[in-house]
Amino acid sequence: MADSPYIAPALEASLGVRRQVTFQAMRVFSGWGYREVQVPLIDYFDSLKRALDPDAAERSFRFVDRHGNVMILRTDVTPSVAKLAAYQIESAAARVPMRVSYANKTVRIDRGHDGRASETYQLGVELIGVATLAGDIENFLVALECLDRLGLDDYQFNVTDHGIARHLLNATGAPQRIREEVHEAITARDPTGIRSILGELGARERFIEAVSTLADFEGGLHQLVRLQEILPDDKVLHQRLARIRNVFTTLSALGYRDRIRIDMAELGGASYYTGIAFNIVSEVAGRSLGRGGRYDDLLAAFNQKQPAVGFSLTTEAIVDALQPSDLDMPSTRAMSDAVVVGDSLVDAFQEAINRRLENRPTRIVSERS
Amino acid sequence: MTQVIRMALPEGLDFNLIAKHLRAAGIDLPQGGDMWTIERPFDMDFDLEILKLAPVDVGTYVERGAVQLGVMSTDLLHESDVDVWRPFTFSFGTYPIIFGTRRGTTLSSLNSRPQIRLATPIPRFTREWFAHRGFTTEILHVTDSAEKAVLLGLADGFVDRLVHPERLIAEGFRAVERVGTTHLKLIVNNATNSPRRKFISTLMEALGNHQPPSPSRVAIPFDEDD
Repeated sequence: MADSPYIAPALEASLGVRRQVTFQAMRVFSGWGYREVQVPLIDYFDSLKRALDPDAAERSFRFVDRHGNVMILRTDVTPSVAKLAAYQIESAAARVPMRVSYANKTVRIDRGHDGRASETYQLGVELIGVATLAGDIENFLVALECLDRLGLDDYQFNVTDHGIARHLLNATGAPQRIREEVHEAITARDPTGIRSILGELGARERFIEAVSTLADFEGGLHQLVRLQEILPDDKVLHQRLARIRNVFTTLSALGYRDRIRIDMAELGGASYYTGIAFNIVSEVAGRSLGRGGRYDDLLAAFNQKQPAVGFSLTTEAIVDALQPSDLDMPSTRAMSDAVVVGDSLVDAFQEAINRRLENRPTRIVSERS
Repeated sequence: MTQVIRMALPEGLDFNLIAKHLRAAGIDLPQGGDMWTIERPFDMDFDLEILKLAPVDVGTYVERGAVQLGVMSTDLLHESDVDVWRPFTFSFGTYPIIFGTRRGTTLSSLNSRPQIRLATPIPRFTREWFAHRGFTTEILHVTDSAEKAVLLGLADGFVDRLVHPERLIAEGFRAVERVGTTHLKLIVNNATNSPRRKFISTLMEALGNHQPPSPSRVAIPFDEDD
């Protein structure tokens, strides 16, 4: 096989686990009333780019089709689902609230210098048309059940609110380019960097202090208290703080206190998130297992003003985080599966056919091999 | 039960300063060797395993969680484009990044060439910086001495950290422009959970309390040639 940076074969061992993870997850999604959809792998770039995160657009594979249209390979499923949902709602083919699930492949160019393609499977759900806190909580609960059913022990939801970060960054008066730099410093938990950037800009101290509080390394409920203390008169901020506190309290009361951590710096991922969002991390995998959150402006890119919330899991990361004992996968095939092919091909293959008719596992073994 | 936290330190230029700072902060790092285990520093339920790695590799190990924390300079972080947290800045390890050439070569003489050949260990940064300013360049990635590449005619100029200004002058080079600054950061895997974050916070607090005075800034020996 030619060595190509764009080919990433998967062999049986990893495929089997991935299929099992997908099957389990889709059962959970279905159990919560989410109906599976398929979105196109190839789409018109012009129609999708309005909803694409700039980073996702930059790292996308694009090409020109026979008619001169610029096409894009799907880099993220959520914008494609948003487009599909918007058209369905517009044509009255679907009504809100819409609950959809998916298990789709995405392709994007890796961040590294060599520009390799990375293919990943995303599993996820989107709840469209629900603006209330109940929608946020449902989103968390579906993800939590999914990970529990998969048998994962080591994971944690780092919870933030993109709206709070955006609100505070706007309040600093920083231009867009500087806001992006500060945003990057927040996600890197770099309060020194934040102070340096905003200090040079001449932003007011209490806003510098508030933005630095977002970058607190340990995270925790104290971040919410501290923000309220720093900006005691900011009603918009206080409303948002109350909402995230409510999410935390509700999930704690439902028994998930140990799985949830307030971590206001967790602002990575797509830029379309507008409200409460989370990153699911696993120390065993050493990386994120998936992300989710509220994205109330995304459908507006397709002329439908609908609130929405959802999450997606990366199958490969989930497989990394699973211990072999978490999945009931046969490591090798039993000798009793074997049908030995000797001189009589007919006899041997008749036996194989008979076994398959009884739905028994069968493996052909050549006597001479 | 005691758990383990692994920390990667970069070999080379700043290793001794980092080791000294860690010792001052209460991490009893022995002299010599490549790998050490410090049992239960700060009386917390973690053993700290410390190992040396090539500076450019530290970010990759931390990003993928093979080690939970490390020390890396911001120029190499930018170059390797790793997704890690960087919650602590060391008071040392700050160097200017300069664009240098042979003495007698000016920016205008370089600009008159069809393209400027630049040797650098940080090609991504160099490409971005020069492209942003409209220069046509050929970037040559070298991991050893970028100055050597200029001496041997591989390149017209170089982009690198300036650590020893006096050596730059003695070897017949000149600084044309400061193109950036690099800082030394503590970096952390971004899937780190609460107990490990607690330990790392304690470590950062100890490092902050024993921060050595910042060394005087490296003075760039600009001349009047341009």
